Amino acid sequence: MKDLYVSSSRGQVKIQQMAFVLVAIMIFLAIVTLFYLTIRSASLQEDVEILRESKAKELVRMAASWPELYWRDCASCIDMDKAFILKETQAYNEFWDVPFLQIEKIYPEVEKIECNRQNYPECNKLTLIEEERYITETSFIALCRHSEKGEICELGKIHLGFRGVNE
Amino acid sequence: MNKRGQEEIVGFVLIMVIVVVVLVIFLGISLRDTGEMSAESIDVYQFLESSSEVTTNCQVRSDEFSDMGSLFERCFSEEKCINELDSCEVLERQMNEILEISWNVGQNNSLKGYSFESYYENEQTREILSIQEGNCEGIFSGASYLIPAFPGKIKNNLKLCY
Repeated sequence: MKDLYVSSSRGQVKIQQMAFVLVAIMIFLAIVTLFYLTIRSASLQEDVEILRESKAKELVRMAASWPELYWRDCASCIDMDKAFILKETQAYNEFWDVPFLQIEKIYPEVEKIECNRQNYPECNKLTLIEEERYITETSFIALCRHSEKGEICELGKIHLGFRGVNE
Repeated sequence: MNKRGQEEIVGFVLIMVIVVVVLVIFLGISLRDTGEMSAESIDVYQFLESSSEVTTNCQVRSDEFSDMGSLFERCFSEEKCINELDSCEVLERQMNEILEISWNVGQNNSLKGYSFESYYENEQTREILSIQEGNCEGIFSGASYLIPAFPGKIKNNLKLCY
């Protein structure tokens, strides 16, 4: 009888030990999972920014295919004359849903001033939209126009502004 | 009896160690970078594509000047411009100017140097133009742009060195 009582108590002690071990392991796993989730969520925002940047660069290139800026059969060209007329046209101010759109000529070098009716095409910047709070993506582009010498294309950049992830 | 408790403690610690090792390996695999796409190579490709459209000083007709892309083929074919300029000289000069203005190279800059090479590829490969600037020994990114030039093709490579 005494032996039976002793082995029963021993069994209960064993079960208690097992229970404590399981509880300890679960608490440990919970702490590790929490730690892991904290690290992953911290890099999530960075991943979103990288994806947004890649998408933005593609969108910048697509600007060359917009009918308002399209130049012949050239995927990397925009019509600078059309862009200049758009700048003068108030109706297109809210056409594109971007906070910043600027075209910059880099070759051949000219005076670094904003384009207007007096100095076009001897100017290097054409700002179509400029609001506040944006992140800029830039892409090389060929700026083409008509001149006395015929059609000419120059090297430039198109700057497109995007609102950040948190906005 | 005393040793039994110690044995159980050792067993418990062993289990914990195995669980920790497995978790660390799992964390290491899941947090490792899978390799990000190089945004600079897209920039380089777009630069090569756009610069091939730039109008040069080489006149080809009374009202037309050659673009950079066509000038590579003219230089390879050793054709002269009708305004008496040498196509290869115009190509080298203007390509140099475009590269200098577009990429800011310097020892104190993030961009340490660049290397531009243009080849005609058919059955054999023949160099058309080669331009080097700065120091190109470290890590780099780059892109290639192809220009059709029957029966072969012209391949322009630009490498940016950091």
